[in-house]
Amino acid sequence: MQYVSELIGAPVRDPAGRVVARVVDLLVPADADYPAVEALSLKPRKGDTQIVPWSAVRVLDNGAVSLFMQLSDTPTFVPSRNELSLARQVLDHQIIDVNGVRVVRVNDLQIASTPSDGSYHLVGVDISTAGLLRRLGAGRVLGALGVRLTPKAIAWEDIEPVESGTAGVKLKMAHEDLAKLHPSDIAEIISQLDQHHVHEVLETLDDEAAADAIQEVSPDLQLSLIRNMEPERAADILEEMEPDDAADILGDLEPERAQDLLSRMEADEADDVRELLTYDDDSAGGLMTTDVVTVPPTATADEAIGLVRQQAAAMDNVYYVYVVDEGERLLGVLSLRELIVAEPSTPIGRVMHRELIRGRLDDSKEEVARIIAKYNVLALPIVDDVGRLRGIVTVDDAMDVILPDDWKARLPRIYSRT
Amino acid sequence: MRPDHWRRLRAIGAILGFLGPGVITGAAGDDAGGIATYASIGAQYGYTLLWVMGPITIALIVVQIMVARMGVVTGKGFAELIREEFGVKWSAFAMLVLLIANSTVTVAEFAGIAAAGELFNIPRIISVPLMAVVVWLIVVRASYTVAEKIFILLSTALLTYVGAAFLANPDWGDVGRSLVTPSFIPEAGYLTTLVALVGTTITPYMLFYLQSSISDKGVRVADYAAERTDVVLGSLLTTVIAVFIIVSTAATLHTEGILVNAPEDAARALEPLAGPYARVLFGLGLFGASMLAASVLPLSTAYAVCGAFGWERGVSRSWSEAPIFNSLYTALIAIAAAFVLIPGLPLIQVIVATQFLNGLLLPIVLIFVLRLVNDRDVMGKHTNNRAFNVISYGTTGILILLTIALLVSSVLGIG
Repeated sequence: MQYVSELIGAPVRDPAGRVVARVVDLLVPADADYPAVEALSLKPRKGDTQIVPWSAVRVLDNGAVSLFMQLSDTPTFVPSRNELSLARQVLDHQIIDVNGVRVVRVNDLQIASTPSDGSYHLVGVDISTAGLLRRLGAGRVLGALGVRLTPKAIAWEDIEPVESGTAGVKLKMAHEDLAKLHPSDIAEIISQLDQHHVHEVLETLDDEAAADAIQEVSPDLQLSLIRNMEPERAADILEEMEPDDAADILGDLEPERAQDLLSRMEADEADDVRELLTYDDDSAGGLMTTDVVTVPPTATADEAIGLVRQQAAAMDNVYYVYVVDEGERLLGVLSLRELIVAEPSTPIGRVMHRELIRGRLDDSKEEVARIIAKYNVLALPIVDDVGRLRGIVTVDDAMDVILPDDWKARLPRIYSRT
Repeated sequence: MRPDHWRRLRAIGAILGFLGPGVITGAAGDDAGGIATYASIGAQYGYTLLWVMGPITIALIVVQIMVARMGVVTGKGFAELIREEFGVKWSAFAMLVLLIANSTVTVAEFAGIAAAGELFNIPRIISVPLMAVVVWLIVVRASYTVAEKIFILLSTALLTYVGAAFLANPDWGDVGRSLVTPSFIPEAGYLTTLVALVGTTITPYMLFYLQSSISDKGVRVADYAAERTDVVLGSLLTTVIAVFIIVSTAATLHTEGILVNAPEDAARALEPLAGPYARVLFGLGLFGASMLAASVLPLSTAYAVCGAFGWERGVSRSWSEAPIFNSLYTALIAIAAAFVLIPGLPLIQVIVATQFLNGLLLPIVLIFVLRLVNDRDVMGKHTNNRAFNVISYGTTGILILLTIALLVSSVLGIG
């Protein structure tokens, strides 16, 4: 096992034993689990950097590098695929530790030889402070004092590099492992990444996954992400978000930009968001979402289940079914459970609850949160002056109102708090 | 305290009605170190050093624009960028420089707090530990936004230096001539003052802070022009206020041969405007400016160091989640506060000394900036043009020459 940092800068000898160059970088394919080192980038004493295939050199365990031929006779390696330059793009840079769900900085990289064919494979990433100290040259000093530095490494297979590929071409790495994570975990990761890398990661996620993750990051970051995205993509992601979250973001954007994004969104989604935008941020209207399942009182339980199935397909959360008349006035409510256990032929009007707990559009958001906490409901219907159902406030949004700021500000961005 | 607070400042500006956002930003840029240094310079040298303010303003603008551009183009903080481009050893060196620079500035801010307290007859043994705890709590309890507004509001009291400068009836012709006439006194005191003047106006910490806040904001290259305007405006106001502090202290103290040896001396320069309230006004302003910087400095230092080494960081991470971040942040506050409590410490002199030290360290930081901003791999087509390089390499070179001159003169025992 060897450390890449110890190979970088190492002298390269020709067959006669003279030092002719130094190692500048190591190239590996970007898409393998434990990629073999394909090539070395060498800086000769005079002249430009030359990339040579790994097969042209011999690396001893003590880190000595020698060429089989004179450097001028050694074939040049032509990068053909997506290669990562370990020193330039990985060592000292941020990477995503997929299992640990965090962003870490690479203190060193471990390569190990395969005795059968003499190839070297990238196996681990050292993220420990021991790795830092070793690179500072403190290893020998500490060793003399009897302190042994035990590196803490994670397997290369379990990480995702974030830098772009060879020659500045965007890697478009699959980030498959990342896409499998829970949206909250993806949110945690993107809030620790450098801004530019966040966008590279988001580009590899589909609209829905990106929307779910963005909903979970801090409002400041949401704003800067949407603002700095291609407008078409931003509109696609906003469509996938819950209308109230989309409205919160658009409400904080510059009006022209918000209008532009709204015009690029699908008409229905955009209309919902436009309506929400008219309400005061601190009111029930500003907190609510328009994703509501409604049924007429005359429908039978069986018909109602069919209606729920149609409407709920595009919604994130459905807790209750609201019963409204032709004028959208709220008549009653029943939970999904009550709907399902009801006799299929019973009209909904007969099984629904008529004593309604509700909020009004102009209630303060604290008032709404208080009602939700007091009555232990998962969602609170919000009605206008004449009793028409305009939306619901769900318990997760109410929780954000009640919980103290510092819990929400768990993201390490001291600079952008507003 | 610069452009990133724009929106917030605009809101406060609207509250105050008569103060534009730029004015407040500039005022907030002048912290305890700045006030003490400018006031001392005015009292001791009169208008003689005013000419330096022109070149310093240009250097400040150029340096800040470079750093802002790095933040926009790379999307990374300065400390992280140093780590990625120069590796572990160089970033350890850069972080050591930053730690020394920032802990001395933090000392200056706590000295400012102690000085402000003493103007109200509060002994420093009470004010400093109390405010150290307040500063620590402000960040931990995340009530920073509110606290920041209060501090900015308080520090606007220092704007009265502008009015005081006019009411002190300076000879404006003299002021004008001094602004454009270079003078040079080849003695150690003058050189030291020059370095402190540069060190307090262009601080290493400011460069780290600016790049981090801009990269965290995620400004696009296309939107960079607006950011640049903010930087220029903020820089201009910082130095304009500095000029007024120098003019008002020169016109009141220098003419009477009074040096700024204690905070009440600096306050006396406000007497033409505020009369008996000069002490109160100066005390509040100094307190606000010191607290503002004291609550940002330890935090952004810990943030930068942990970023460079990849340690967990963030104000809401617990001690077990981010042990180094939390201990570093706490230690910076504790050590700075403890240092100020050394019995008999001359506050103003200590503040000016810290700014001098920052002036000595600045060239090191500037060389890192210049290496990075001229690297095509890092900046693509956004590397420096010739004018920027001439000005910033010139600033770096002059600072290094001044340092060498000081070393030589102290070794030879001249001055």
